[in-house]
Amino acid sequence: MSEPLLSVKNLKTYFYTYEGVVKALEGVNFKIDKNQIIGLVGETACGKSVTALSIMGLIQDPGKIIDGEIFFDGVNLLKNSKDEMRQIRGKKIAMIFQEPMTSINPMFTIGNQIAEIIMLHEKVGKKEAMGKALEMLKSVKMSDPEEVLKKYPHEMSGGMRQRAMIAMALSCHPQLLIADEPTTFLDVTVQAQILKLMKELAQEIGASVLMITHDMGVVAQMCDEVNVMYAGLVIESAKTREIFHNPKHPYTTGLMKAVPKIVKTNVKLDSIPGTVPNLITPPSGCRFHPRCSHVMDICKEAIPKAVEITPGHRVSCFLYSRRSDDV
Amino acid sequence: MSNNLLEAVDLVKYFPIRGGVLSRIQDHVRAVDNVSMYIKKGETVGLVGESGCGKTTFGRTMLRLIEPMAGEVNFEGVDITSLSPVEMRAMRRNMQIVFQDPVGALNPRMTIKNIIGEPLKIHGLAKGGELTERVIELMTSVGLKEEHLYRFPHEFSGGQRQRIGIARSIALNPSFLLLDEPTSALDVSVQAQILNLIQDLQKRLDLTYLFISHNLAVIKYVSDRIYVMYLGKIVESAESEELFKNPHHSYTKALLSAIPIPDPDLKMDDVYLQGEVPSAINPPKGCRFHPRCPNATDKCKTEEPELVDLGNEHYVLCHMI
Repeated sequence: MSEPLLSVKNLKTYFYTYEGVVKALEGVNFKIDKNQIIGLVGETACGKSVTALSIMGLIQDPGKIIDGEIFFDGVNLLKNSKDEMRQIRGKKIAMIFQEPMTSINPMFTIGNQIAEIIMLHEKVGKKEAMGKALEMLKSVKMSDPEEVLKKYPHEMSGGMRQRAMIAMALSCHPQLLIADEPTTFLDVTVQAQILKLMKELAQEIGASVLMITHDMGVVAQMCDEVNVMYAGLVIESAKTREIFHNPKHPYTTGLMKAVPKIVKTNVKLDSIPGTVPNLITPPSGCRFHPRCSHVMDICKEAIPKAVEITPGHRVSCFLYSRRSDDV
Repeated sequence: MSNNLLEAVDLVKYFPIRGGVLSRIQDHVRAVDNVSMYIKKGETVGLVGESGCGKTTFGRTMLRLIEPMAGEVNFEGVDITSLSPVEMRAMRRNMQIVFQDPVGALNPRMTIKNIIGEPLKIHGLAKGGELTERVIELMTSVGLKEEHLYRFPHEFSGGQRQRIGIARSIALNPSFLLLDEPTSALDVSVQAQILNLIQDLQKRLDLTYLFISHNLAVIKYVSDRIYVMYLGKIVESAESEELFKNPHHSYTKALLSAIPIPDPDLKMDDVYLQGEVPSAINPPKGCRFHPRCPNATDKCKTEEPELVDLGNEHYVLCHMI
């Protein structure tokens, strides 16, 4: 096995707000190998987006990364200066955001915005950059790319904007593409087009993708490996097939049963009782214990460590580990 | 016919677009264009379609929250479009709505007791201690606790807020509920709780539902019969199982093939639909789906298709059947 492209170790990001310290990430661990599509799934406010922003070095006040390491291509990103991060962002690691309208500047044409990135990272003139921008728009299968180059974001539909975002993100051929809920705001027929496009392009330029989503369907169709997050922790990670057929953590199992299925006929949905906890005063011990049906005494006291139960399948749950391991 | 609780016949709703110096009507958004639907007593009917297809407008026109331009809506045999405002108000006791956004639908300055109790007050059904008692009863029936009585909406999570919205909508013992994307704003684990609650209430209170959603998996889970809407038209309707097993309209097929299936062993079919939903201001001539339809012929470009009855309550709006 070669070095992973990205490895996140014990990442802790806190937000210091008036109401208290929001412990958004409480020691996140995962890795991404080259040419892989890795899923990061979880419900609202479990820390998916904070993880992405931490990798990008975009955590802003009152947020702070207080501990951990993020190794990208052998370099610890958290030790980089702001200038060094600026060199990496957009060039080596690019990001696609959830809502294309708020992440594209409404005052500039699409062509200008793509060209800006290319000019910043590759020493080329405006004309050449515009030519490259046109090529990018063609590669994302935009209909009528010459026209789109001159268009402002508000003149385009949601699907077209997301295509433009992808063109922008891939314009410098990044090694890692972070896609934060890229299709959540799109209709299913458009979503299918965008997902297919992302998969093809990532393969073409040899980029790895970190796919952040709450949709189990998107995960099943797109990802090679999956990391399931809950309340600021990765609680289970495994190959996609393994996660779907052999989920171990009670939260993952619950999540699988809570998704209405197209294929199976009416089985009553199993819901997980309660809601995601408040991260200012998270539950003691395992953060899932108040909602867990297998809760034991130990779960209320200690935080379970990740154990590898089969090669590549890691779970953080006391059902699979003993306390003696971590005390 | 008598077992239909609610029936819409050729409903039409256009929204005018004004412009120019004199703000004259320049064009219309054809949000709902000759749509018919029937809902049998005790049934859950699903209405599915992509954003902007007119689902919500149609739902609200059914309740006369939006005045239809033409067509009629029969509720237990009474044409509600001809009722006077006073009569309509009394009629509303029987037909209620649950909204998509539980934040926007609840007044942030009102306590939960006042929110759920308001319909009872307006219709003069309860007051004082009786009102409080009834509100508590409604709250427990949707899984809220008595101690929540004097709290405000912002103190609740999304799922709980949706429970409040549901409690309010069943306060008047309606026979019909319009559920307009009730779970779209919720996480899956909470969505499952709300869907199960909705189904339990239906059995307990003998309710009839029109469930609007863009999520086919959710629609399939709750519905007995499903209507598929595209650009202001119903393109196909059938019993739930039948529609998923045996879709006839190309749009329904495309919609079904586009859903990412949460099972890595079942790969998605490759019938990707190209392009996006066109504008409802100038919808395509002939069949509205023809510019995106893989099987479109010349006839589809010029002639509007008629609804074809395939038997067994399966209807399709397509020339190719």
